[in-house]
Amino acid sequence: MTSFRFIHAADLHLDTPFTGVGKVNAALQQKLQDASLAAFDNLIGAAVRHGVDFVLLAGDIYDGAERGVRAQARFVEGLRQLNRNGIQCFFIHGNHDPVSEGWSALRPEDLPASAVLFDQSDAVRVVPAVRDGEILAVVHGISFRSRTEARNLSLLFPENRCDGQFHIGLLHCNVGGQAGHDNYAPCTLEDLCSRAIDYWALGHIHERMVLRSADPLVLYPGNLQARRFDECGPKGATLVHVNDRSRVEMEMLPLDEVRFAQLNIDVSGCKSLDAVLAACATSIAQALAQVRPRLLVTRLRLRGQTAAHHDLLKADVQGQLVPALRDQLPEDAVWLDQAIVATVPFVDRVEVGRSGGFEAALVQLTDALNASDNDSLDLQKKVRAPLLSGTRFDDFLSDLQPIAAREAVAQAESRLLGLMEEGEE
Amino acid sequence: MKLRNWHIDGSGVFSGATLPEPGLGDGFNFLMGSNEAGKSTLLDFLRYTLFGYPSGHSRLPRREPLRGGNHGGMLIYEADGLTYHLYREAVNRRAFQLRQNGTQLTDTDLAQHLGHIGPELFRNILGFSLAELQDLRSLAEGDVRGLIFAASIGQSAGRIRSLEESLSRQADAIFREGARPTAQNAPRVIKLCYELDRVEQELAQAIQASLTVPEKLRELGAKKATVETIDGRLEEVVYEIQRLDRLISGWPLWVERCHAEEERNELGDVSRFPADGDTIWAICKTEFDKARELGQARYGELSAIKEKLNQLPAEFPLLSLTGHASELAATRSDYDVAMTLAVNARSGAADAQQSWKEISEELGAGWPEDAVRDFDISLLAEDEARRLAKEVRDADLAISNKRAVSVTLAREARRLSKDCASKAKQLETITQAGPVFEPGEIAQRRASLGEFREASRIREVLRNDLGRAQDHLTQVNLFTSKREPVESYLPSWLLGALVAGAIGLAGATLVFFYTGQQLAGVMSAAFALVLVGLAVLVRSREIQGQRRQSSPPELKDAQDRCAAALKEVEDHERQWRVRATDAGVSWPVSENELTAWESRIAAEERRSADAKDLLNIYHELRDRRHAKYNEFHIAKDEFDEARRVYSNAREEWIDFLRVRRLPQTIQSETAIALFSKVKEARRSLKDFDDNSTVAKEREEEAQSYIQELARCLEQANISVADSYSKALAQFQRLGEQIDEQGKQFREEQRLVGERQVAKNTLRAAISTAKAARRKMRALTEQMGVLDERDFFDLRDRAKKYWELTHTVNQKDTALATIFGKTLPSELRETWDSGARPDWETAKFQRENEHRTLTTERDDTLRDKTALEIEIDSQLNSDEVARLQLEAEELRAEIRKGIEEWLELATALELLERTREKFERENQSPALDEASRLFRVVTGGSYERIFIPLESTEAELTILPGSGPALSLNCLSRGTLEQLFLCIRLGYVQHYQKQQNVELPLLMDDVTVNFDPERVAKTFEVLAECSRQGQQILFLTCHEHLIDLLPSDSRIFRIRNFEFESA
Repeated sequence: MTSFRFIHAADLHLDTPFTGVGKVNAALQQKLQDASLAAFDNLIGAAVRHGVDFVLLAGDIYDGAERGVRAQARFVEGLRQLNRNGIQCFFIHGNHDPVSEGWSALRPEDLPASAVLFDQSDAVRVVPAVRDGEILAVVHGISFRSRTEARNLSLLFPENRCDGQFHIGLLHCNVGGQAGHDNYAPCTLEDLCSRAIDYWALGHIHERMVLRSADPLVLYPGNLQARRFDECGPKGATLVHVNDRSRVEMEMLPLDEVRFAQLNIDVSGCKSLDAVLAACATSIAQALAQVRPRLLVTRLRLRGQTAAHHDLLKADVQGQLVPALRDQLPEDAVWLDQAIVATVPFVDRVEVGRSGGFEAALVQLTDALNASDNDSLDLQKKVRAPLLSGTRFDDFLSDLQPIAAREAVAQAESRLLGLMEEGEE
Repeated sequence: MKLRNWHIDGSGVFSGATLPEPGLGDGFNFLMGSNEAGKSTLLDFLRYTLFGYPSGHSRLPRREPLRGGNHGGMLIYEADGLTYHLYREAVNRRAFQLRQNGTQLTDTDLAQHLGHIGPELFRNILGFSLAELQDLRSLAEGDVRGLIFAASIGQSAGRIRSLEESLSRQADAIFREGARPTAQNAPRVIKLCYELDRVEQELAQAIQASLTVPEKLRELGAKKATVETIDGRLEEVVYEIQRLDRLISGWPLWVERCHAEEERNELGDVSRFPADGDTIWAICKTEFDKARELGQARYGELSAIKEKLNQLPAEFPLLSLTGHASELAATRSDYDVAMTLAVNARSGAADAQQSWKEISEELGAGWPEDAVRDFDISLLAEDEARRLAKEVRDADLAISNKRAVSVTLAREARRLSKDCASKAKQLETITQAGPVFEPGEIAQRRASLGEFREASRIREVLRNDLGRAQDHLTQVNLFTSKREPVESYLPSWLLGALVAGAIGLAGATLVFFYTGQQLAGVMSAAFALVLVGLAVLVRSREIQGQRRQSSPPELKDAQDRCAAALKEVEDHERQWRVRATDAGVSWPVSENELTAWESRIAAEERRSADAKDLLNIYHELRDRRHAKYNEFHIAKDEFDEARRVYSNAREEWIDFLRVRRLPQTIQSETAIALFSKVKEARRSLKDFDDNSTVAKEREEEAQSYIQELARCLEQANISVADSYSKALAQFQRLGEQIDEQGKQFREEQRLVGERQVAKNTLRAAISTAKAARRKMRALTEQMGVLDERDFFDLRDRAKKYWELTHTVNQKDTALATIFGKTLPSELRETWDSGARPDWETAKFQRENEHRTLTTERDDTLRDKTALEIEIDSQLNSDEVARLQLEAEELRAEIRKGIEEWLELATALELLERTREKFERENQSPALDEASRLFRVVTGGSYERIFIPLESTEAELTILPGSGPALSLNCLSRGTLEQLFLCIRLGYVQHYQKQQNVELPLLMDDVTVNFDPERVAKTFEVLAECSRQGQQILFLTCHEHLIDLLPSDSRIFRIRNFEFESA
C-alpha cells in the first residue's frame, strides 16, 4: 500500500462572527472579523506546505447561506489554490450548510476540478483519492439533507470491504449524543465500527476528540477557529500520515488566528488593587506567550479572599477595572474581554452571624436560602421577573439551576457584606 | 389598682357626686351621659386626683367647681386586696391624703400602686379623651417612645438605605423595566438592545442583498447574451452601412469612369501615334529652330569679324624679332636670377660648408634617406617653414601684446570714465550750491564792491562836508541876522537866573507885604536884581565876542559852500543809487551789507575756483579718456589685425604642414629643425661644389646676353647706346613696339580663328537643321499623316485618348481603394439599367438602426458593469461579517449587562429580604400586640404595624393585607384613631406585664369616628381586655353601645350631674 498524507478538518464556519466578545477596538474588530477566513487560508497554506495528497472537510464549511457570499468566494479561491498545487479536496454538507439550502451564490461549475463535493444526501457517494493515476484511498461521503438531520447516516456506509484500499468515511454527525451540540445524524461508535471504513473523518463536534485510535480510527478534528469562550484552547486540523492501514500517524496542526482563554486568577495574596492588576498582567502575559503570534482573547475570573476586594468591586462597578488592565497589555496581541470579580472580602461569616445586627440577619437569611433549593430558585425567579416580562431577553438568560441560584445568593451576600463593611469604615 | 368609687366634692358641674354602690366593677364599666353631662370633667377629676391638679398657668383645664363644693374630692380604689382612699384638693395641687383603713400612706405607696407611671404617660396611654387619642406625638414622647420604637437601628439604617439606593441606582443604570431606549438616561442594556435591533435590521438587509447574488449572476448572464446579440446585429448593420457608404462614395467615380471610357472609345484608333511621337517631334523641331538661329547668328559674326580684320594692318615687321626678343627677355631674366644666385652662392658657400660640417658631425652615419630624397622640397620648405613659423609666432606674440595693450587701455579708459563721472558729480554739486563765475567776473565783482565801499566812504565824507558847511552857515547866520530868536542870545542858564531873580523879587514883596519888614523886602529884591544884572552882563559879553568873528562875505561864502556840498551829495546819491539798482543792492549800503557782500564774493570766488579746478581736471580726464579710448580702438584694431594675421599665418602653416605631409600638431621648431638638418646636410654634399660653378656660368651667360642684346638692336635698326643701360632702355622700347604689333597680330589671329569657328558652326547648324527636317519627315511618314496639321490633329487625339485612359485608370484605382480588387456587380448593373437606387435613404435607415442598437448596447453594458461591480462588491464585501460581529458584540455586551444587573438585583432582593426579616424580628412586643389588636379591629384589612429600620422619628408604617406598606398619612381618620387605640392597648398590656401592675383604662368617647363594624370589633377587643382583668372605664354619649358590652359590664348613667346605675 502506498503511503500518503492528508489533512482532516471540519466545522470551518467561514466568515461567522465571534460570540460573547464585547465591543473591541476597530483594529481588532477587523482581525476578529477575518479570523475564520484567515484560519482557512492557514489550512490551505498548511496543505501546500506539508505537500498532502488531499484535504477532507467534514461539513459546516460555513454557517449558512445567510452568512454572505464572501465566505463562499473565499472558499472557492482556497479550493482553486489547492487545485493549482495538485491537491484534491473532498467535502460534505453539515447541519449549517445542508443540501437543501446548499450553495447560494456559487455554482458547481465554479468549483475547480480537484474539488469533490459529496452533495448527495440519500446515498453514500464514493470517490477515489488519486495521485499520479494511482489510487491512494477511497473516500465515502454523504451530506446533510436538512439542518435537522435525524437519520443515522453512518448506517448508509458500506458494511463489507471489497478491496484492499484504505477507506475513509467523511461524515458530519454526533457520535454518542455529545453534550453541548445538537444531536443531528446521531450514531454510536459501534455503528461506525460496524462499517468497512478505516478512518472516520468526522465533523460537528468543535472539540478535538479521538474517539477510537485504531481499527477504525474515529476522529473529530474540532473546529478550525474558536468563536466563543467555551471553545478555549488550540484549534485547527489534523495531519494524517497513512503508512499502512494499521500504521496511521496523526498530528494536530494549530491553524487558528485568534485564541480564547479564560484565566482563573487567585488573588488571595494580593493586598492592593495594584497587586491584583500586576497578578492579572502576569497571568495574561504567560497565556500570551503560549499563543503568540496569534491574538489572545481572554476573560479573567478573579477569585480568593483578598483585602483588595472592596477596591476591586469599586473599580469594577465604576468600569475602571478592565480599562486599567487593558492599559497594561499590548493591544495588538491581546484583548481583555471581561474581568469577573468573584473575590470575597475578609469577613468571618460565622462571627458575623453571631454578632447580631443587620449583617447577622443577612447571613442568617443567606443560610436559610441556601439550605433550600426552592427558596434560592424562587429568589432568582423573582429577580429575573422584570426580564421575563417579554421574550426579549430569553436568549440572554441561562437556565436557572439550583447551584447557580445558590452561587448567585452567595455572591450577592459577599458583595453586600463587603459593601456594608466598607460603609462602616 | 382598680377604681371602685369616687366622691367629687367640687369639680365642674359636679358637687358631692358619688357612684351608686357597688361602684365600679373589675372589668368593663360603661358610663353614659349626654353632652354637657360632665364626662370630660369626670375624666379630668380622676386624672387630677391620681396625679395632682395643674397649676393656674397650665394649658390643662382646672375644672373649678360650678355648683359649689370644695374644689377636689376623694377616690376609692383597691390594690393588692386592700381598699385605699385618696383625698386631693385643688388648692394643694400636689398634696394628697392616702389612707388605708385609717392609716396615712406616703407618696411611695401611691407611686407603687400606680406602677411608677407618670401623669403624662397616664394621660397618653391610660386615661385619654378622643382629642388625646388622635395626638400621635404623645406616643413618641417619654417612655412610650422607648417601647414602641425599639425596632429602629437609627443612624445605621441610613447606611443600609444608602447601600440600597446605590445598588438600585447601579441596577437602574443597567436595566429598568419599561425604560425608553431613546431617553438620554436610558439604561445601558435597553440602549444596547435598541442598538442590536438596528444592527440586526441592517444585517438582515445585508444578508438579503447577498442572497440576491445568484439572481444577479443570472441577470448578468442575460445581459452578456444581450450584448452579444446586439454586437452581432451591429456588425451586420455596420457592414451594410459601409457597403452603402462605399456605393455612395464610389458611384460618382464609377460614373466618371464610364463617361471617360465612352469618350475614349469615340476617339477611334490612335495607336499609330507613338507614345514618344510628340517628344520626337518637339526635339526635332527644337533642333531645327536652334540650328537655324545659330546659323543666322554665325553669319552675322562672320560679317563682323571680316570687318575687324579689315581694320588691322596688313603686315607686322617687328614680329620677326619677337622670338629673339623673347629669348633675350628670358635670358635677361635668367641673368638676373643667375646674378642673384651667384651672389647668394658666394655668400652662403662658406656658411654652408661650416653648417654641413657641424651637422655631419651631429648626425654621423645615420643620415635619413627620405631626407636626402626630399632635399629639393626641403630646401625650399625650410625657409618657407621658418618664415611661416615665425609669422605664426610673431602673430601670436602680437596678439598677446595687443590683447594686453587693449585690456590695459580699456581698464584705464574705464577708470578715467569713472573719475570723469566722479568729477562731474562734484562739479554738479558745486554748481547746485550756487552760480560759478569766471575769474574776470569775480575781479569785476570785487572791483564793484570796492567802488561801492569807496562810494560809501565818499558819501560819508560828502555828508560830513555838508554838515560842516551847514553848521558854518548856521553860525554865520547867527551872527549876521537882525532878527534872531531869543534863545540865540539868551542862553538857558541866563533865563533861569532871570526867573530865579523874579521869584526872589516876588518873595521879597510878599515878605514885605505880610511882615512889614521893609528892609528885608528891599534887600531881597535888590539881591534878585543884582543876580539878573550879572546874567545879562555875562551873556552880552559872550555874544559880543562871537559877533566879532563873523562878517557878511563869510555868510555868502558859507552859503555857496553849503550849496556846493549839497549838490555834491545829491549827485553822488543819484549816481550810486542807479548803480546800486543795477548791482542789485540797496543804497545806501551799510557796512554790514558790504561785509556780507564781500564774504559772498569770497565764497563765490572759492566755489568758482573749485569749479574751475574740477572742470579742468574733468576736461583733462575726459581728454585722457578719449585718448585712451582711441588708443584702445587702435589697439583693438591692431589686435584684430594680429588675430587675422595669426589666423592667416596659422592657416598657411597648417597648409604647409599638410602639403609636407606632416602632422598638424608638429611644432614649427621641430619641422624647421628637420628641414634644416636635411638642407644643411644636402647643401653640404652638393651646393658647396656647385655654387661657384653656377655663378661663373651665370656671369658668362650675362656677358653673352649683353652681346646678343646689342645684336638684336642692331637687327632692329635701333641705334645702340653706349652704355648698357641705354641699350636696355632701347631694348625696352623695342619690346613695347614688338608687344604692340604682337597684340595686333594676335588679334588678327584670334579673329581669323573665330571666323573659322563661325564658319564651322554655320556649317554644323545647316547640317543639324537638315537632319531635323529629315527626322520630322520620317515621323509623319511613319504615322501616315500628310502634313504637320494632320500630325497635330492625330497628336491631339492621341493625347486625349491617353488622358481618358489615365482618367479611367485613376477611377479604377480610386474604386479599388473603395471596393477592393473586385468591384461590385451592382455598379455595372446600375449603370446599365440607368436607374440608381436610393442608397442614401437606405444608409440613413441603417444608421438610425445602428444608433438605436448602440444605445441599447451601451445601456446593457452599463447595467452589466453595474451588476458586475455590485456582484464583485458583494462577493468581497465584509459588511455581513462586520454586522454579524457587531451584533454579537452587542449581544455579549447585553449578556454582560444582564449578568451585572442580575447580580445587583439579587443583592438588592437579598438586602430587601434581610431588611424585612430584621424589621420583623426587631419590633417591640407592644407594637406586636398593637398589630394583633389592629388586625382584629380592622377585620384583617391591615396586617402589621411596624417601625422601619431607618426610622429616626415616630414613622409608624402600616402593612396592609396586600400591597405596599403605608405611612400614617395614608390612613383615614377613623382608621388612624383605631390604630392609635390599638397601640395604646398594646402598650398598656405590655407595660402592665413589664411593671407587674394593674391600672385602670379610662377612655372618653373614643369610638365616635368608628364605623359600626369596627366599633363592634373594638368593643370585642375591649371586652377581651376586660376579660383578661383590665379594668375599663368607658365614657360615652352613645347609649346604643350598650348592646356591644359584655354581659358582666357595669353600666352607669350621668343625669342631672349625679351618677346612677342603669
